[in-house]
Amino acid sequence: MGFLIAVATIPGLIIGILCGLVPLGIGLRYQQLSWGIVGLVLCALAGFSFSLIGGFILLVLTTAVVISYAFVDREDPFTSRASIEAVNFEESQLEFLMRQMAALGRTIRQSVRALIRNKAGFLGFLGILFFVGISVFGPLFVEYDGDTHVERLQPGARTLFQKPSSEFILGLDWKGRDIFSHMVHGGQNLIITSIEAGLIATLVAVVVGAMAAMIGGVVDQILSAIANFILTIPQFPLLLVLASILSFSNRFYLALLFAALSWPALMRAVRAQVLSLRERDYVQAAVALDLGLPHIIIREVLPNLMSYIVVNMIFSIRSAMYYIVGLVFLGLVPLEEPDWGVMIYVGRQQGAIFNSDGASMILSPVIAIALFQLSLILFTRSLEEVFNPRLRSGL
Amino acid sequence: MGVIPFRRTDQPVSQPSLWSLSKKLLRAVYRSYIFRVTVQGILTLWVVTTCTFYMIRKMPNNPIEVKIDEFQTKQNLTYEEARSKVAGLFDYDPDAPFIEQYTDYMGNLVQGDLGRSITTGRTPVSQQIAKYLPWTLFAVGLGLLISFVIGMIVGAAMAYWRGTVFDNVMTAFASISYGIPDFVIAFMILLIGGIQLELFQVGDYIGSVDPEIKAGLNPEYIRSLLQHVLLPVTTYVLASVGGWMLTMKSSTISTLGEDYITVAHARGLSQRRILFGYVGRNAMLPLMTRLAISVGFVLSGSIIIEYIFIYPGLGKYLFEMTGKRDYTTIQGIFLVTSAAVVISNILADLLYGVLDPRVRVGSK
Amino acid sequence: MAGKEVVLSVQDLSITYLTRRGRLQAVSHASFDLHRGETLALIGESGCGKSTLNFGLMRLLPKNANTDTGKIVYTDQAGQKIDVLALNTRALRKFRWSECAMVFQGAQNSLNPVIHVRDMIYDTAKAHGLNNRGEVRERALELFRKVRLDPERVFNSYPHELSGGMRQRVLIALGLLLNPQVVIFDEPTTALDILTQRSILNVLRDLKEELGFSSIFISHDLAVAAEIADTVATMYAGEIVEMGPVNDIFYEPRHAYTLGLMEASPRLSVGREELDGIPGSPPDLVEPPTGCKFHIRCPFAIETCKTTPPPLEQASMGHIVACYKSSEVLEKGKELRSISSTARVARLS
Ligand SMILES: Nc1ncnc2c1ncn2[C@@H]1O[C@H](COP(=O)(O)OP(=O)(O)OP(=O)(O)O)[C@@H](O)[C@H]1O
Ligand code: SF4
Ligand SMILES: [Mg+2]
Repeated sequence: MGFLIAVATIPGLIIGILCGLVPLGIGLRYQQLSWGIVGLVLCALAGFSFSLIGGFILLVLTTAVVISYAFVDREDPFTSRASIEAVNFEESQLEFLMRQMAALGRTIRQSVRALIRNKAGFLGFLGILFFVGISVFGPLFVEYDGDTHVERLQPGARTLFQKPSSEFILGLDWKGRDIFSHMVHGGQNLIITSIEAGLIATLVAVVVGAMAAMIGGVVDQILSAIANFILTIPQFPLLLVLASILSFSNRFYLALLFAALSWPALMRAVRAQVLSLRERDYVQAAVALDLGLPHIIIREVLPNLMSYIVVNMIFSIRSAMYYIVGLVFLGLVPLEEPDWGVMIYVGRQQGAIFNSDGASMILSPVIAIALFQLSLILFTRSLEEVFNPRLRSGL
Repeated sequence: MGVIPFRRTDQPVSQPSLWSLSKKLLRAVYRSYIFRVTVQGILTLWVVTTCTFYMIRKMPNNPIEVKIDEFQTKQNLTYEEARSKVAGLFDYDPDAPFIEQYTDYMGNLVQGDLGRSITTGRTPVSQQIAKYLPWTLFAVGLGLLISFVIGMIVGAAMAYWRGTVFDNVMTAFASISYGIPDFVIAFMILLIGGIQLELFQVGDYIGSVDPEIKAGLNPEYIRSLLQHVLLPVTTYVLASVGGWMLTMKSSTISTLGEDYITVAHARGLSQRRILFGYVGRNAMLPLMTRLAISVGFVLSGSIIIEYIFIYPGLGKYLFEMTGKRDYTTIQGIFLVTSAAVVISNILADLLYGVLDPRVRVGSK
Repeated sequence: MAGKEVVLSVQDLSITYLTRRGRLQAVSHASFDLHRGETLALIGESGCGKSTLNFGLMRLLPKNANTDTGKIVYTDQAGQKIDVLALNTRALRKFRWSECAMVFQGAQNSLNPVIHVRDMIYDTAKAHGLNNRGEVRERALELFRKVRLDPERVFNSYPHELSGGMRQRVLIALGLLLNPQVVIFDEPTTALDILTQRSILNVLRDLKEELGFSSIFISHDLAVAAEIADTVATMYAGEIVEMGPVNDIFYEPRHAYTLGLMEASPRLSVGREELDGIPGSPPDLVEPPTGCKFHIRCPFAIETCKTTPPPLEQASMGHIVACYKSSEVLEKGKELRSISSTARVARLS
């Protein structure tokens, strides 16, 4: 069972709208109506596509932005130049929360600005949005065409393959089915599995890497040895063997398997970074204060690695997609239609390569995958700007 | 690095007991770099072998079952008939205890024997590997060489003329090359170049060589060899050259900003000397590690590219043998490819020591 | 110094950098003459354009820099006048190091880490047509001895095997390898500890006496400049605001900024309890202030200072200054000096 759900559902929409009421309400209260409405729309959209998770995340983010506008002029003892006597240190829990939210909101606004500033990165972002949007909302508009259509056989043709035409803009596959509908319905599973795989791999890598570096000693040696060991075995062949051992009933296991094999590279990098960070003063200070390992890692070390980790996560997602499509393409994963990878596999089996009428069956998913991966790569440029404060301030 | 500090013989040694001397010698040997990495490498390979040995045998079905299945479907036999037919074919007992199989295998391995292939008429695995390995080595090795060299030169040029049209065009190209998976490129070449635009006859370019031409050092054979390797190599180069270009570019940019480059200009050195002796050598250093890693992975190659172009390399062979559950062959290929990684890592370390004097002194 | 032959003459040199925010005026209308055997010290805050000016003299500026106006005329050993800005690539390559060498700020990274010191020496010699390795080696070893290094060992070392002070000396020796007439030292002692600084300064003074080259010496440290210079030029925000013989500048400063620098320097205002740093920070060179660029921080500033830049004027023999209130500054300086000496006397008693 995957932990990401991405289907446009009516309950999801309702959840999203409910979530959206929060930023809207706060927007009304502080005369920031326009931002409240933007928040409502975004929450509704996110809820519609990702149900509770999406709705809730966007609820927090948009509310923070609305609050940041409302609180932008308030005196903050740490950012304003107000003298120490003029600042009121007695703040209620609510005020504290508000201040934190406002800070978060400002960060979000800065990030969005950085995101837009890098043209290539923004293009990548739009590309990702496009594919995710199609996968999520496409099924609402395009019906899945799953049956064989012998009646679509063209006079004189020997196969049901058809070139793109005005009726079927991407042509027909070997069973005479509309390729466009397969494209719309077939990306979701792949994209979600890849994202899950990338997220898990990154999480494992960061946790293991940070632990190895912070704890050190025998733990470090063992974890590093395991990582080195996995790095020695060629990945794809190993995946190939493992995939046939665990014939997957569920793609989520594929994501787990990918994560199990791909954490070492990032883990070593995180470990090295943490080791060098550990020598810095503020981390030393935290260690001296005995603030506890989780605290030190989460509050002092991770923020400095953020840019690095996020960019690597994108790379992880990318290679996960590569491996998954590769396995599907070699026929090592149970075939479930509709799916881009399966289209390539079946298309090749059915001779679409040597049949110029059928090329679309392979080319469409191939180009979609290429564009999606390209978008991911371009997007990393923006992410670097968003998470690297030095770049963000434009120096 | 690998220098063992022997005690000078002319020095008087107090009580040179054999035991203490040999202990010292042992310690010195242990400290030596070569010895350490060799032991580490052998250990790694042993673990790899053991793990794969276990894993492979955990795969559903065994070679016999697979063959029985095949006979059943292909020749329309009943299970019993197929079973009796297969029984004579293979020299493999699926019911032998795991431990016994393992000790047998390891015993042979220690003597340098990779065993015999189960499904292909008992040919030695080493012979099988020797048959398929050159193709992979040729295709992927050539691809790596070309993409590395192009990446180096173009990447350095991009850094040198950064901000110009050339740089922008090349950066865009590199991002695309870097961003698109190799099988996508393979399909594009086949489908768009071969089928849609009919630039070439696909049949003439896939496979290994034209079977009608006699093998040997005659020009036709070489031509055919190159013709058939063209598509896999092109795919490999297009898919990997972008990564090299981008890395080389950023490495060169940071080198160009170093003080010693400005000083070299101030000293009036010739452009060529600065480019090769000062910029090039320093900018290439960080790429050498990556190159060594890539070299290590040449053997495991690119299964998917070989599969698409029906190129008879080790990767495609491994895939086929996995389907047939030919345990010994799979095992052998895993061992050889992992060994390649281990060895190239060691070589990378040594090479780095040669190229960068700072590492040479500091190495343990 | 007057009457001596001019080796390097710089007139009206302006250099700008193209940055994301706009044009950054790093050097504006700098003019000076460097005489044979003389040492000119350039002093000023960090970022005032000292390094840029000197990179400009050797045409070593990065690509985003542009020499807008100016003339750099160099007189070579044969007495020929060379217009540096008009040199073609080939001639420029010959000019560099054989006529004018530079010892860089941050010697730690000035040597190529992957080749031997000897190869850097041979490279340099070869680039200027000296192909006899034996001779080059002799000359290098002799120079190493002069800068008080263990010649053989250093000659065959890699840069990382040398300490910071040793690398700085190697760089000085390398700079003198081709016997140039002008050597530029860009803060040669900044990153070093006090003792090493001292010994490098001694080396430099001896070398100068022995070899007779002219030099431009950039420093933050006024005491160092006072020790080694014949002429001192103060730079502020890309402009040379005051220039004159070393004693004039130190004992009778006429520009408010120079006076401020003296006050900020610990060793020249002995006995004062507190250092008066110059309040405020250097101006933004993309949008420099109008009038005198120092007026925002200047305690002497008058209305005119805000609108019209003061012209460079001759104050006394060989001493030029660009300040409307130079006589007041002079008075104030004398007053301060007497205070500080009475304070010292008071403290001693
Ligand atoms: N490559 C460059 N691009 C843009 N601006 C530059 C560049 N190099 C220097 N600058 C700017 O030019 C000004 C002068 O710099 P310069 O290095 O000449 O100062 P400096 O006097 O040598 O300082 P320091 O004493 O710290 O060495 C500074 O404001 C600096 O920001
Ligand atoms: S000209 Fe005016 S502002 Fe400038 S230093 Fe002199 S007194 Fe100060
Ligand atoms: Mg400087």
